[in-house]
Amino acid sequence: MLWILSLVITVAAGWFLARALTAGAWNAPRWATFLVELSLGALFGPGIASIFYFALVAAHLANQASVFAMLLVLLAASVGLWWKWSSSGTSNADATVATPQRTFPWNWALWIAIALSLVLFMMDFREASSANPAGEWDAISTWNVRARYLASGGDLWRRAVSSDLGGHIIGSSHPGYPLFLSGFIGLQFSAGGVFDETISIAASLLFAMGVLILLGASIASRRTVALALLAWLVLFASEVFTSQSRMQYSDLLQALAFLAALVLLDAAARSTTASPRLLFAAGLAIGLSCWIKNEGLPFAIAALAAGLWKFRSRGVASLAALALGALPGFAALAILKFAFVQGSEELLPQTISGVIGNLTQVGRWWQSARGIGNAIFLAGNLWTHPLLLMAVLAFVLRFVAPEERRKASWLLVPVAVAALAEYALYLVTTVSLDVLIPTSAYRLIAQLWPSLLWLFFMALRAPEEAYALNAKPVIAESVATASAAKRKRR
Amino acid sequence: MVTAAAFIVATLGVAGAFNSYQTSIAYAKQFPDAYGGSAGQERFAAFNARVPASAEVGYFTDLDPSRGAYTPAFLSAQLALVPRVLKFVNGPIVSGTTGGDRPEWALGNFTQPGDFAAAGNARGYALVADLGNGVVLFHRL
Repeated sequence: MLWILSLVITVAAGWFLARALTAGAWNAPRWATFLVELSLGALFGPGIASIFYFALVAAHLANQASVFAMLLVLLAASVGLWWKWSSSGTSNADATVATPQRTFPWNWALWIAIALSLVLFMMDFREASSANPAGEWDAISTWNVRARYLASGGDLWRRAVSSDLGGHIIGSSHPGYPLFLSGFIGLQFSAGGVFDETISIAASLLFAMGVLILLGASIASRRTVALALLAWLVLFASEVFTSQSRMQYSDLLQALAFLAALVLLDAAARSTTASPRLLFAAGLAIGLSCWIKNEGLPFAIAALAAGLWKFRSRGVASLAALALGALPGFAALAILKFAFVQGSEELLPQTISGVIGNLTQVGRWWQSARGIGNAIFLAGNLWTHPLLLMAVLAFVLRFVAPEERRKASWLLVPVAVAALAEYALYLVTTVSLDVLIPTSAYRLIAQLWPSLLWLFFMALRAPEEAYALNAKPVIAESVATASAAKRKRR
Repeated sequence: MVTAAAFIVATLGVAGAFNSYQTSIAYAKQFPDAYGGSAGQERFAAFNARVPASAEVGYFTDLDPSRGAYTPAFLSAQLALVPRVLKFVNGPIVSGTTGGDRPEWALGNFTQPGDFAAAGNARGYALVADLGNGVVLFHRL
């Protein structure tokens, strides 16, 4: 069970790195800050470790000893950075004083609901993982099988990036897929010396919990606790999240990277101290986005471009930090695609005329849009659909002031670009849309859903505020009445 | 209103989580090891013990490609046989050729009893061992 140790070291290294890079950025209750850092660590640690593992594998140096050595060096470096920066007193601490938060009086009931939902979620996960420990289709055909090849030693790892894998079956052969998830699982295989199905199950749970925790904790850090609790409940009601958590796919990992990028970009934008470290962290999340699935690349490019534009007035050091943070992910992807991948996925037409021919088929535009719409409809069950819950909240709580919403609107850009890129793929692909859309559209929603929820809740007025405003006229009136009575007595 | 909204969301959130759990139980009951990924570890263990880890392995089956089980059967075999790699050799040897470009070893993945030796011969392979449970080891003629 040495893989448990390697997994713990990996996440711990990521956690210390997240703490070092984002110290002081969260003006929040301690528990929320801890959870944000931990969930970022669940992305950073495995992401960086998977890149180093890929380097070890490609150099024929990956074995149990070298993997543990690499992980311990990573941990030592992360702890060292955190120690250095925390003892020197430098941080991203905001100059502005945090506004004291009112408390929503029914938080305790929301906490109980969350506890119940979490228990159900874990039972759900356990039930599904026990029945299908090898995972669903893509886990068997792509993620887990590539992980095994990476951990096989010698030149055998190259079979993970060959179109021979999957028998050239369209939909099962993805030689060019990035290696974050397979690399992270393969790393545990190498560390443990065994192809243990429990490793893939543990990885799946880690990234699902990362999404869940980051969504709520980041909202609690930036807005209010009640909003965070409501966001958690809406996510638990999202079938697209709960079902994907047990499949051993990479879509929730992709969702974690997307969400982390938005959270960190937002934190950097609101920080008045312009620390390059926070921008480096945002860049890291952006770069790791494109190391997970091909869908991550358009998001990563758009997020990087939006960040460079947004922070253009902060100086070269800040922009360099953002770009440098993104470098490992982009570099690893480029090296994989150009130096090692053999064959292609045969998804796209080989000629311009083929592309134009597909684009001019009007039916494809409608079928693609309908497919994405259907995937959103399937994101939840009818009477507990997350859109229904969001509609209730929007109707009752309303939204923050328009200028506040405008300030955050730039964060929609990478999400929109990711969605449009997938839509464009549907328009031009040579694969039958009847086969492609039903599976991929749902997973696109899984990748974007937590970010969309985050954007929604960041724009929503807090229950604490709405509740206090509802109570205010009664108090004001009684105070005014008492003052008038006092003046009359004089 | 705010309190009512919070309670509605809380109730429906928990109901949604419960709904998902029920769906999961039903799916697990109906489709345990849906694609044979776990069962394959044991089913192909004897095959792995006889074929070198670096081998490319030919693959053929009695399943028709139009059947839904055709691709999952291949994929679960692929997962179990790692680090070996599977290559389809479904078509018969072309008359007048030796099939020498086919992998040295082959896996017959059968779902029904039959003349496995004949199935192998038609593809340029000789039966080496019937390993049971529809798993047959072949060697190139």
